[in-house]
Amino acid sequence: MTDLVTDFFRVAVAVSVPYILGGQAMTISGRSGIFLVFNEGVMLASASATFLATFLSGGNIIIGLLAGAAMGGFFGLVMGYFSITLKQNQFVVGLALLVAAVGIANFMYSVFIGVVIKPPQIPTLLPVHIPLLSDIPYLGPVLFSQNLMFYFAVILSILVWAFLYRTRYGLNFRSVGENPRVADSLGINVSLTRYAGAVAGGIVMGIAGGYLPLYFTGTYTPSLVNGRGWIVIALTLFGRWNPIPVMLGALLFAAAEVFGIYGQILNLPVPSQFLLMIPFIVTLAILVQTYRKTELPEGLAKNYDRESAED
Amino acid sequence: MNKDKKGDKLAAQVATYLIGVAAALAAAGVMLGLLGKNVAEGYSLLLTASFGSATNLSLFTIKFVPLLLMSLAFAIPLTLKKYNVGNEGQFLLGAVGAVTVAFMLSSLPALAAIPLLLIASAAFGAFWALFPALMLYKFRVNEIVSTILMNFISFYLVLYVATGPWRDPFAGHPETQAIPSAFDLPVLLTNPAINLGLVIAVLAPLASYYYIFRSVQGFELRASGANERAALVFGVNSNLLAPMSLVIGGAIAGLAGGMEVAGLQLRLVDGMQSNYAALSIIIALIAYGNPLGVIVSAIFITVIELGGSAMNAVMGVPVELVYVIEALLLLFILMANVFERRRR
Repeated sequence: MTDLVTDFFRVAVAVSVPYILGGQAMTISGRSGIFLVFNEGVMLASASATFLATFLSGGNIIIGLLAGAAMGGFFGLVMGYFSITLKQNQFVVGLALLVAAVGIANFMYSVFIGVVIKPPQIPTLLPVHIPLLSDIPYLGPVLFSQNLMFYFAVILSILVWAFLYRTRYGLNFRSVGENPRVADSLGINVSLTRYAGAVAGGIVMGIAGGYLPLYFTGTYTPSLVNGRGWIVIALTLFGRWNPIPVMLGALLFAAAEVFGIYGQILNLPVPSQFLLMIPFIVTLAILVQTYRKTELPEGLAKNYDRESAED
Repeated sequence: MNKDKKGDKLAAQVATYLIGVAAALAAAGVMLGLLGKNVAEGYSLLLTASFGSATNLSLFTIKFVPLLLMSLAFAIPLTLKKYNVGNEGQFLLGAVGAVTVAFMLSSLPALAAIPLLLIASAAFGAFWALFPALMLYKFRVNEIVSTILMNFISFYLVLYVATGPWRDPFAGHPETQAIPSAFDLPVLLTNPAINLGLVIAVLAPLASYYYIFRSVQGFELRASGANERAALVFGVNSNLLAPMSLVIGGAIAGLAGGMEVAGLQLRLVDGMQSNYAALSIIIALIAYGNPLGVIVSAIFITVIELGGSAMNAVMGVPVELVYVIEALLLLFILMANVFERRRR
């Protein structure tokens, strides 16, 4: 039984990586005032890019992840152009880019691979056992025998926190997200800051998408993202756009996902379809709880126009 | 003078659409060229696959009916700046409602069966929108996230029903047996094949237009969409209208799902929602939520969709190409609109 419990948490930690990265992407861009709703599509486009680049480079995972990051950054840039430069509604643009990204994801796969009997495989991420630490009972296998991307996600979360709360640029960043008018009057370049937020958020979201084929399947399928792009939005609301609570919250959402899978293995007397609903039901419940007292960056999803009288 | 101004505005609006369409088609040409395909052949297939024969026209109707209703389900809450991205799940619940009524009341005569099926599917769709609506009303939970999460729950619900007692054990895919024929939508024409669904689908946006632009409640809807605070001051209950618009949208999406069962699939099929939801968002946003505009943009997107299938069948172009083009179309129209406004 303890083996099963340790195993459950070990898998949940690995599954939490796209949630942690996606949540940080939402946090970075959201703190500058850009609300990313395109995640479900962009994660898929990046998953496709990562898969193809890894496959075509003969199994080079680093090249794959860079391709995924570039794809995400590109979408972040387009998101920035439409919302910051053209001042279009962020939800409308986000939804349009979501559809475009899903199309691009499947299109790229069709062009490079097409319909084949046996889908090509790429190597998946292997666990790295950290000397000494991984020998700690229970904690060792759960936290210190993970693949490198988990450590990357944790370090990135801490860096995002340090940037936002311990640097001057971070302060500027947050002030642009809270009140762009005041930030502008203090001489902070609102547009540039928001572009930086959108592109950085896109890049991190792209890495989150790239993790999916590298950890889960070793291949590309159109259903690879399976709602994670939306769940990270709920997660970020839950973590109140703070990097550390977002990182910890990711574990909760990942545990809900893994619980659905383990319920099937344990032969619980519940139809498997209902077990697979669990992460989404849990997310809805958390949303209700969160919205009762959530604090959003004041300027989030509101485009800033210097010449406009209204805020 | 005033009328002239209105005419100018309309002309400018049409111009932005034409520029958007031209830019999207140009992008399609570039992509075809990069794939090394015959661009002219691609264009001709893209734009003509829906016409020219009764069969093509039947194929057009099959895709047009659900797309039109799904777009409307997105468009009505859009009047209040609410994004009903949950129309996919509401569609599926409508389909579940349709097969539930058909299998539980299988001995009903057609005269009672069809109205009951349509009402049940609309009610199931509305029910699915009710949760996000209540969450919005009570806790101001963002409807984009909540309705999407309901979609994922509905996927597994369909899988559960399609593999339950009503399943078709001989199908290689999760789906139910065929519903009793009394529940099939009446066929009005056989060649091209047209059933009651098309009539309902075309009446729905007309009724919605009347509701939004000619009724008192529609006026309140538009008023609180334009300026929620001002509408509140004048006694419009915006807090209630927004959740209500989601439920109306849910009913329409549910109706689309029910008609997909009763008019086309004749059973509940896992994955029957196809890519209707994503396309409906594009269609409704292109029309800025105007129900009459939705008819026009739904026709255009349906034409492009069938064109994409034809390009795939004849020239081996990946079907995903049109998917990218459709999203680009919306982005180009948004851009053209910005530049048109800046010019004035």
